Amino acid sequence: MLSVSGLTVSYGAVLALRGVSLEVGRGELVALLGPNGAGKTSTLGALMGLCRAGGAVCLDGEALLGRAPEKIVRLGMTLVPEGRRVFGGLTVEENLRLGGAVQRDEAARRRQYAEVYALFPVLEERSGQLAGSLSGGEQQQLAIARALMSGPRLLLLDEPSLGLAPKVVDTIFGLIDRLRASGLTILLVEQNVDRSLEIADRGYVLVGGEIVLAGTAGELLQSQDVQRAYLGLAS
Amino acid sequence: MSLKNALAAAAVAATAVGGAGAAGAQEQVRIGFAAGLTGYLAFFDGMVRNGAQMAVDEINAQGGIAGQWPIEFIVRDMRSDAAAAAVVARELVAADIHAMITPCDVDPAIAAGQLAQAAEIPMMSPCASTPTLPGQVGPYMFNLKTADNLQATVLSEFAHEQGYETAYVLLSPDTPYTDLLPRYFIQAFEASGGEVLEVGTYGWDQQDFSAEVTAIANMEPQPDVIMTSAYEPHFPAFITQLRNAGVEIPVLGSDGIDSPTTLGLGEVAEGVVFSMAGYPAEGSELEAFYRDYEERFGEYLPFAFSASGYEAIMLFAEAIEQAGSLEGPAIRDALDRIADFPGVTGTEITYEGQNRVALRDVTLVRVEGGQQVFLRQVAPDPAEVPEP
Amino acid sequence: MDILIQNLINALALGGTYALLALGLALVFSIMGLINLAHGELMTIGAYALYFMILWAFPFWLALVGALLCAVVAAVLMERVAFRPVRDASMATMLLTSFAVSAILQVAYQNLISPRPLPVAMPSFLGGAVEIGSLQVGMIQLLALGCTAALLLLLVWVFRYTAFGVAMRAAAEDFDTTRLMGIRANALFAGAFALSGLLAGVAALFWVAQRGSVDPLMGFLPVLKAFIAVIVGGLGSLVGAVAGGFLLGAIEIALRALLPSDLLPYRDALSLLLIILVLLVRPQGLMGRRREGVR
Ligand SMILES: Nc1ncnc2c1ncn2[C@@H]1O[C@H](COP(=O)(O)OP(=O)(O)OP(=O)(O)O)[C@@H](O)[C@H]1O
Ligand SMILES: [Mg+2]
Repeated sequence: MLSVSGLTVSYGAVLALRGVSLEVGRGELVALLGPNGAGKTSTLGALMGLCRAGGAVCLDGEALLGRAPEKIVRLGMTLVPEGRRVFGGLTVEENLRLGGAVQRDEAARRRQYAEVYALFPVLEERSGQLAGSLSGGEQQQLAIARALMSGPRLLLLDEPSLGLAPKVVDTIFGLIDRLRASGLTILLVEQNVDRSLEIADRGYVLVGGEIVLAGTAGELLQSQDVQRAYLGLAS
Repeated sequence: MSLKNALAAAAVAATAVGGAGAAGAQEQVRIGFAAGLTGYLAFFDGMVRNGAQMAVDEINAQGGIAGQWPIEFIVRDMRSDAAAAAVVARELVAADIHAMITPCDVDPAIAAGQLAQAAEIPMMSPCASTPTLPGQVGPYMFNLKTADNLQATVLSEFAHEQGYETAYVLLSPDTPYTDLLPRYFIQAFEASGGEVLEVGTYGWDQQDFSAEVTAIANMEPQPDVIMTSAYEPHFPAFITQLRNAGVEIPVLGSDGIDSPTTLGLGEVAEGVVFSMAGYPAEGSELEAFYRDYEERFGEYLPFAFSASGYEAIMLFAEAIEQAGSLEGPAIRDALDRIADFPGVTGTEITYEGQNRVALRDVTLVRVEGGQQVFLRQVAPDPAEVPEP
Repeated sequence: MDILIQNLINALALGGTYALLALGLALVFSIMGLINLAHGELMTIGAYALYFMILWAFPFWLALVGALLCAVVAAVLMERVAFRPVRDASMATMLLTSFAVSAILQVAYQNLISPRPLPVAMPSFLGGAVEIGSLQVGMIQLLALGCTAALLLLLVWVFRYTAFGVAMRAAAEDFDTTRLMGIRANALFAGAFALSGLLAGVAALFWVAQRGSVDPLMGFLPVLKAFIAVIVGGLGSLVGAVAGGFLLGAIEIALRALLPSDLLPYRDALSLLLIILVLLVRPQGLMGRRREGVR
C-alpha cells in the first residue's frame, strides 16, 4: 500500500534522513522504532508533506512527495502527530469536526462520528468540553479519533504512548490493536519497543537517519541484543 | 539653460564687449525657495512656487527689477522634512542667492532660516503666521501671512460684535500655530471683557474628540462660542464629532482651515467663521490673480498660498529697487522700511515698525453651502493686538 | 451621571474601532505569524473607496458596500501578491515585506490620489444626535456602536458554529495541525486576510465618519493603537485582541475626560504607562496563553 524508497530529509546542513526505505502492506500494522533523534518524526513529516524531502513515496501507486499535507489527507493517509497537538481552545466536538473536514458527504460524516464515539466513549461524554482540559490519555484518544474522522486507509501514529501513565499506555495500545483488527492499515512510530512489537506484524529500526534492522515482530522481539544496542533500553 | 539660450546670451555678450562694459555685466537676482514639493507640504508649497513664478515672469517680462535685474528663481525640494530643509538651504546659500523663500511650516522654516540668517540673506516666510518666527530666526527673517495675533484680534472683535460673551477654546500645545493663536485669542477676548470658560487641549496624534465634545456638551452654562486654530486632519474630525453630537454652538477658526477640505465637509462645517489673508471678491485683483493662475496651471485654487508666493517676490523686488543694491543688509533694511505696499490679496502690507511681522488686513469668511461667504476685511486695532 | 454614561459610550465606540482593527491583526498574526504593518493601508483603501463612490454619486448604501468590498479585495490581493511568496520565510522577512507594502501603498495614495486630506461628507440623515432619555447620543456613534456589537456577535457565531470559523480558530492555534485535517493552507490565508480586510473596512467607515476626511496616512494611527491592543490582549489571542481594543479605548477616554488640564499633555504617556502596568501584572497579556508543550 505504502512504499517508501530512498527518503532523505535535511534541516539546513543537518541530514536527518539518509535514504530510508520501507513498505507497509494493506492491513498491516508496521512499527517504526528508534531512539530519540533517530528521524522517526522526520520520516512521518516527509510522508505527510510537512517537510521537504527527497526520494520517492507511493500510496497505492500515487506519488506523494511534493504534495501539500491537505492533499495527502484527501488521498487517504492521516497522521496523529507527536505530542497529540489537539486544539486546546476548541471543544472535543469541534476537534472531531475538523478531523472530518474532508468528508463532503453529511451521512458519511455522521457514520464516522458514530464509529468514533463507539470506539472512544469517553469523548462522547466530554464532547462539549475544551480539548485543553482533557487528561493526557483522553487527549491522545481525541487525537486518534480526530485522525479517524477523515476516514483514512492508512493511519500514521507518532509516539502515541509518549508521556502517558502505564495504565493509560495499555488503553492506547489496546485501541491501536482494535483499529488494526478492524482492518485499518497502520504505521506506528514508537520508542516503547516491547509493547509495539506485541501488536505489530513487522518492524523497522531506525538509527541516525538510517534503517538498521527490519523484520517481523517476532524476529525483532527475539533479538534482544539488538534492542539494547540500538534502542538503549534496559529491560 | 538650453543651447539656444546659451547662444543668444553669448551673442549679447559679444555685442556688449564693444560698447558699455557695465551694461553687459547685467546682474541676475537669484531668489531661492526651499520648497516642500513632495510630502505633506506639497499642496501648499506647490501653490507658493506657482504664484512666485508668476511674479518672476511678470517682472522679467519688464526687463527685471527696476528694469535692470532679471530674476533667476531657484526652487529646490526639501521633501517636507526639517533636516532636508537645512541641507537645501545650504545648497541655495552656496548658489549665492540674494533672497530666499522659506517652506510653509514653522519648523523647516526655522531650519532653513538659520542658515540664510548666518549668510545675511533676507528671507520671507509666505505661509507661517507665527509672529514669533522672525524673532526666533533673526533680523533677516520676515513674515508675510496674516500673523496669529492679528487673526486672533479680529476673531475676538468679531465675537464681541456677535454678542458672544463666553468662549470655549480648543488648542494643541504640539505646534506653535495651534498653541499660540488660541492663546492670543484668549488674551484679546479677555482684555476686551469676554470670558473664556474652559480651555481644552488635544494631541497631535488624536483624531477622536468624543471626550472633548462630551465635556463641551455638558458645560454649564454653555459657552457662546467655540474658538480653535485646529486644522487638517483635526479640525474636520472635531467639527464632525461636535456637530454630530448635537452641539450647535458657533465655531470660529483661523486660516489653517482655508482649504477645500473644510468646504467639502458638508453640513457639519456650515456656519463656521474663519479668518484668512484675502477674499477673491468678484472683480477684485485677487480674483483676477486666481483666474490667471487657473489659466496658467489649470486649476482654480482660491487659497492664499499662491498669492503669498506672488507677494513675496513682489516685496523682494520692491525692497531691491528701493535699496538700489543686491547686498543682503541693504535689501533687509529696505524691506524693513516698506509701508502700505499694495498686496495682490487686496490688503496693504507694512513692515515699518512691525518687527518684520507684516501688518495687514484680516479677512473673515463664513462657510455657507460649501462656499466661502465674505464677511469683512479689517485692519485690527493695533492697540488690541496682543504682543507676540 | 450623564457625562459618565456619555463617556462610557465614547469609550465603547472608540474601543470598538480599535477592537475591530486589533482582531484583524491578531487573526493574520496567529495564522501566518505575520505582523501586518500594512493593515492600516487596508483601512485607507476602504476610506478612499467611500470617498470616490460618494463623489461619483453612487447611492450611499452602495458606497458603503463598495468600500467594504474594496478593503476585502485589497486584503486578499495583498496576501496573494506580497505575502504568499514569503510565507515560509522568517518573521523578520515577513515584517519587512509588510513594511514595504505599507510604504508603497502610502506613496501610491499620495501620488495617485492626493497627499492632502479629502473631505468626506456624510449624508445628513447620519448627522446630528438622538435623544435617549436625558442623553444626547450622536447618530454615527450610535450606529458605530450597534454595528460593532452586531459584527462581533456575528463573528462569535461564525467562529463558533461555521466550518470556516472553527478552522480559523484551529489554524490560529496550530497552523500545521490544521493542515493535517485536510484544510487548505491557501484557503486559510485567504480567509484570514479577507476577514481582516472586512474588519479594517468596517473600522474605516466608522473612522471616516468621525473624522470627516481621508488622507494617505490616516491608517497609521488607529492601527498603531490596534497593535498595542493586540499586545495587551495577548499576542495570538483573538478574544484578547478584542478585549485589548476596548480596554485601550476606555483608558484613552478616561484619561482625556478625567485628567486635570495641566496634566492633559501627558495623556499618551500615561496611557502607555497603564498598558505597561497591565503587562507587568500579566506579561502574557489579558488572555494570552503561556506557550507550553511542543510547537
Ligand atoms: N526543525 C528542525 N530543524 C533542525 N533540526 C531538526 C528539526 N527537526 C528535527 N531535527 C533534527 O533531526 C533529527 C531527527 O529528528 P526527529 O524529530 O525526526 O527524530 P525522532 O526520531 O522523531 O526523535 P524523538 O524520538 O525525540 O521524537 C534530530 O537530530 C533533530 O535534532
Ligand atoms: Mg519524534
